[in-house]
Amino acid sequence: MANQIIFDQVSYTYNPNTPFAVDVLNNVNLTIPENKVTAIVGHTGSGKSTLIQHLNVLLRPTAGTLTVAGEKVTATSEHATLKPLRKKVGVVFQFPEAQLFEESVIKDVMFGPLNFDISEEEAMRIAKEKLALVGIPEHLYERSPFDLSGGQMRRVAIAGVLALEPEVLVLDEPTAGLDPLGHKSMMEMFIDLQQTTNITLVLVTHQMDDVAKYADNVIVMEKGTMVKNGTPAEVFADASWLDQKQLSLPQAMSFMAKIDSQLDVAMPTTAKPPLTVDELADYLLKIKAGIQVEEG
Amino acid sequence: MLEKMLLGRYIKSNSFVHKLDPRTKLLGSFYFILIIFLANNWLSYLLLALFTFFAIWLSGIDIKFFLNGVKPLIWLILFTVIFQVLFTTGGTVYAEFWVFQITSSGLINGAYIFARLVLIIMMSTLLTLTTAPLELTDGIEHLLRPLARFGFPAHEIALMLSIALRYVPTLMDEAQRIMNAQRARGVEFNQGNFVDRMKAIIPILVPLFVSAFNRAEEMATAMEARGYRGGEGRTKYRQLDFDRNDLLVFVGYLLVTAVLIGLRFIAF
Repeated sequence: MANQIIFDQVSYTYNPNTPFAVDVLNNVNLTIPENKVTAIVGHTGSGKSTLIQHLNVLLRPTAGTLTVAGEKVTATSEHATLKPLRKKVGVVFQFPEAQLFEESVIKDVMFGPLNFDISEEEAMRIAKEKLALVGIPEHLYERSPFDLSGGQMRRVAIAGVLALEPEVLVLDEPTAGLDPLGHKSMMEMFIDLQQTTNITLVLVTHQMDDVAKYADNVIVMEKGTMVKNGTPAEVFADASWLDQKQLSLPQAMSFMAKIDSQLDVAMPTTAKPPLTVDELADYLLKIKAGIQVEEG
Repeated sequence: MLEKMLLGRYIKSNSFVHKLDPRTKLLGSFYFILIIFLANNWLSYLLLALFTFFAIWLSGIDIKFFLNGVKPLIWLILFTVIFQVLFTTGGTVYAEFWVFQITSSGLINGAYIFARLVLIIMMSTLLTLTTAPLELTDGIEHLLRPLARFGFPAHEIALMLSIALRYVPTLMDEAQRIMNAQRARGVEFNQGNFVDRMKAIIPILVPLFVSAFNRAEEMATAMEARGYRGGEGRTKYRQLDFDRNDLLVFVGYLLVTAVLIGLRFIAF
């Protein structure tokens, strides 16, 4: 339970006590279970990004209590006690390639570990390991990060966060702007990493297909509060509710819904509704088998 | 810290002051700074203060924001005032030690300077709070246009100003995002000695410059692609119009000026 993240009545206001004050989070109560993949979804401006800045205490709640890695964080927590939490919770922000600054790729990846007092040799070893993990070939290690292609820069930036060896990894739209192949390979790398090292993965995304395919647990945010929390099957069960929240079904599910409404075939009641393309294929095969039995 | 700075922000509204021509507001603010030096007695300062509060009331913005705007500069103001008080000679001497003298004219001068600075800050805050940045650059371009005859690049300067103003919030957001990303990687900005703090700036400055370069290149390409070829022969989308309200403001200023001159030379 040590790496559970618990929001207890957390509220957050930007620019409090000024004419520009904005309430972004309102009484958020939620738990991010450890060693699982949790997806956070919600319409633009629902407070997702503010929420994830709380996860590694870049922001402290203006009200309520947040528990990260066994540490309680409130509005009055000292900054100095929070730094160790940043190593435990790594965050890959949107377009992370904007954070590169060192003169070589390897130095940039080593930057994070060095900030947490890890020795030079150890940092070097970790950096090489993570660069290999994200698929950056060795001959690029000494190059300037600004010479790389956009996709490679993204990989280096992600390696820079992985180099902190976090126990909780937060990804804010990690594949935004990548080509389909890059998207797939990157998502698979993260899921693989989650499974082999058993870390907690938090994924903020607009892509419902990814949520259906990879998440164990889904948190739906709206106007700064959590409006639903459950497994993908539970969250995606009510299409009209999702529509109301300006969210959509995964493609496999909307395809299935169309078949359901337009074709007069008996659905196998035993199987659960398909979330992914693979499950959809299985489902259709079952229908086909059912029809064949009827005919025979 | 940046969120506390009020100067340079804009509050959207639809008041009398908001709807004025930006040129009126610009000229008015400059003119106000000029006529404040005409004031040399209590009555004239009272008149200017009333004028300022009336303008603030017309803008419909809470006076508290203006007081907050003065706050960050209060030490600078007090510093000036204290120097005035300690070094002015003349009038009744109340206290004396070493080279310092606290005299009646020193105290009066100090109070005048205090009033002068506070009123000037309030007026310029009023200008920025009620005028959108783009309106401001439009106004500046119009006011600079006569100088173009003498080879002054009025259009280019106005363009640079409007692009710069447009990108201030974007770059601030960008800086904040990069700062967050680097803090997530263990950079501490408020810890350690001067050298440590300066070193912590590099991971922000380098990405910020790189992104500014990229942005500039993209922007230049996008502008060219849309047919921008310089200031010559362009029409304007936003037309400035000088109407009755603007005239009223100038009449108001003239009246105030007349009374100020009267108070300066006749009453005393």
